[in-house]
Amino acid sequence: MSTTEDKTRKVKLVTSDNEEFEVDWEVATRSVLIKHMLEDIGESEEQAIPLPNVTANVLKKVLEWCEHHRKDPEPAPESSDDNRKRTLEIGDWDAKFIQVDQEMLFEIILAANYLDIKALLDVGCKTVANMIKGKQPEEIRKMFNIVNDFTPEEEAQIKKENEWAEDR
Amino acid sequence: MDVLRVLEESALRTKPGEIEKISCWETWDVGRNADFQRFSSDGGHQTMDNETFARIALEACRVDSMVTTLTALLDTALDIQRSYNQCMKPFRMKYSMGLASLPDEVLLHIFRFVALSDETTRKHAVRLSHVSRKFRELVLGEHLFWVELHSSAKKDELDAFLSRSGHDTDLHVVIRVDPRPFDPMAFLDNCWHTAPRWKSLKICEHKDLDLRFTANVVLKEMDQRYNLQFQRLHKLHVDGWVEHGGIGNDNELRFKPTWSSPKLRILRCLNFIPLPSTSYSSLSSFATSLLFSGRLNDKLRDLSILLSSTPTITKLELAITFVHDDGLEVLEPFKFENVKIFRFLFPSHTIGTFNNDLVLKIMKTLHLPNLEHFYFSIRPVAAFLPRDEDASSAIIAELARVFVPDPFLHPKLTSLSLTLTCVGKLPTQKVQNSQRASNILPWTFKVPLDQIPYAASLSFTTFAQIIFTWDGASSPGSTSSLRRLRFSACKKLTSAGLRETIRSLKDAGAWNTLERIVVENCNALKYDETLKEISEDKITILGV
Repeated sequence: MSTTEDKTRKVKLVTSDNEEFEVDWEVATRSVLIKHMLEDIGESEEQAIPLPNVTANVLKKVLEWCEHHRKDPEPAPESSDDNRKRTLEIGDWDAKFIQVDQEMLFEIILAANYLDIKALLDVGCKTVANMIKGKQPEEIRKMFNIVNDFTPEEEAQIKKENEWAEDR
Repeated sequence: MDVLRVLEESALRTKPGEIEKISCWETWDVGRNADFQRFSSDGGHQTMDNETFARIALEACRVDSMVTTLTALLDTALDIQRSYNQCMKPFRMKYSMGLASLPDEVLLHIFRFVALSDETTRKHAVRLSHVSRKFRELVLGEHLFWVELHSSAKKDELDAFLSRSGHDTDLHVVIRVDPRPFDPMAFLDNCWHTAPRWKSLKICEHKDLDLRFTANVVLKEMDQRYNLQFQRLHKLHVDGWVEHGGIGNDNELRFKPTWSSPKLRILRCLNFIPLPSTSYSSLSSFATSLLFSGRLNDKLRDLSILLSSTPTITKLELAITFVHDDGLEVLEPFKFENVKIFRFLFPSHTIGTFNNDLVLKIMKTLHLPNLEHFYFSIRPVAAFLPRDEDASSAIIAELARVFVPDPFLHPKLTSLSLTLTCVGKLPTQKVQNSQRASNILPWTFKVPLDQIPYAASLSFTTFAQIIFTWDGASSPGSTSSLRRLRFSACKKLTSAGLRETIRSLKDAGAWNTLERIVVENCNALKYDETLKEISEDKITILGV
């Protein structure tokens, strides 16, 4: 639970290329990693949090997302019943936010994974999933420049499995 | 040009293995017609009659023409391919590098979104496993992708799914009762030994099947043939059509299990109400969907028998579709004492005073003295909605009477949800009330808060304008208990409309005690404008 004091507190973040960002506590703590680090260092406001795996241009983008979602409720833990269900829907704002070039898309995914921002990781992964969904293996290979490296034995098994994928 | 269009069209639909078939001469009309071996081996010494020669010559010309067309197509297609490759190369390389940079757990997270976002997990998982060795290793190692066993699976497929699903993962079984392409009993012979791992079982039939082979018949057969122990079974879903044209005795057709299912919580039956059974003794939720074509008392009586014999059921869902509107018999009162959550659904409602009256009568006949949460969903067919504003207001007011049930019959009701959406496109209204501001929705759904004085939580998904009222005369001295209000996917809700709703809350004296309004996926709402109107402490906006 955040206190009123927490809400007015500022947090300093330092990227791998040594750029410093000062952000609201509420924004920074969308990241579980940063939240835990802040808990570890306690009340010391001056101490900057080093983020050696994130560059400034990526962190800027990630913080834009955190700022917009600062009031969002904490994501509910996955229940075992929901374990088999996923939705590919992305909110309008998030869809616009993630319209970035390919390099940035994967940088955001990696940063969200490292910073432990599940909702942002989901937005990035859903974007890639939407590109993959409904495509035949050859189309997926072509889209992502993936080499077909199956052995002849595996190819034979795959040929046999093809009819499993048909709608029946 | 036709051949080009057909080629472009078929390129979008080519299935795995089809290219290999093209390489086989027998697939071609021109390939299988001529006896090449017979005439090519003897250097023209063998006699060939004139008719045969003429036919072969014609076919040879046809092949020449095909080769010319294909050569032209190939040359042009290669040119286009080169351009595409050139255009895509840098971007594809970026995607390729990006994908390669992702750790396995993130790649698997993406695969879960691909495979688990709809009902066809099997198709997506199989396709992903055919992309590359790395993809295959990840996909085959994820048990969740292989836990759905489908009765259309042959033995080798079933064995592969079972081995990939791990030793102890929950399984989800889908049986389609349609013996013509797939025999469900043959499938069960192969997998009934895994029954202790079944977490859910769905059995569905085609409505035009004959009575000897229905979902209920297959369930009876299953129960008799195998010693079923469903230690984990949590959800049973049966789509069965018991009333096959009213032939025979319903009780004979309805299935009564004897198996053990100590963890069964959810039972969902389409088109029938099952007979009570000890196998249902742990149920907490029962849902049924009924086609109403008369004999509603019989159906409600069956429901009453099931509910009274299974007191653990606290959540009831009743979906009704009217087929005939040839009147409603006088309904007996039915008391369902244990139900705390009631979902009352009309998925395709032919709106009109007569049918609305039926909905109201059914609601009034059900006494739920311990009801805490009421969910009412009605989807009028747009074509039947009146265009006249006064008429439509009257119709919506009738529905509001169902949504706000009698407070004396349901004294513990604290939470209500309304879904009022439309099948088809809403008609444009003929506006008669010039007093109404142009930015307010023509459909007004009035919620009399004085009728639900204990309701702390209200939730709406609707095209209508929600207005709250409070009649002080009906409950003098009391105040509203409303604390939480939610608008979800109200596609027509604008900032002005929300302002009107808030004004009505203030007039009803319910604003100051209201703790939170959540607005979710209401895309016509302007985020900043709304925040100006309502303090951030009181509103949460999601999905904007």
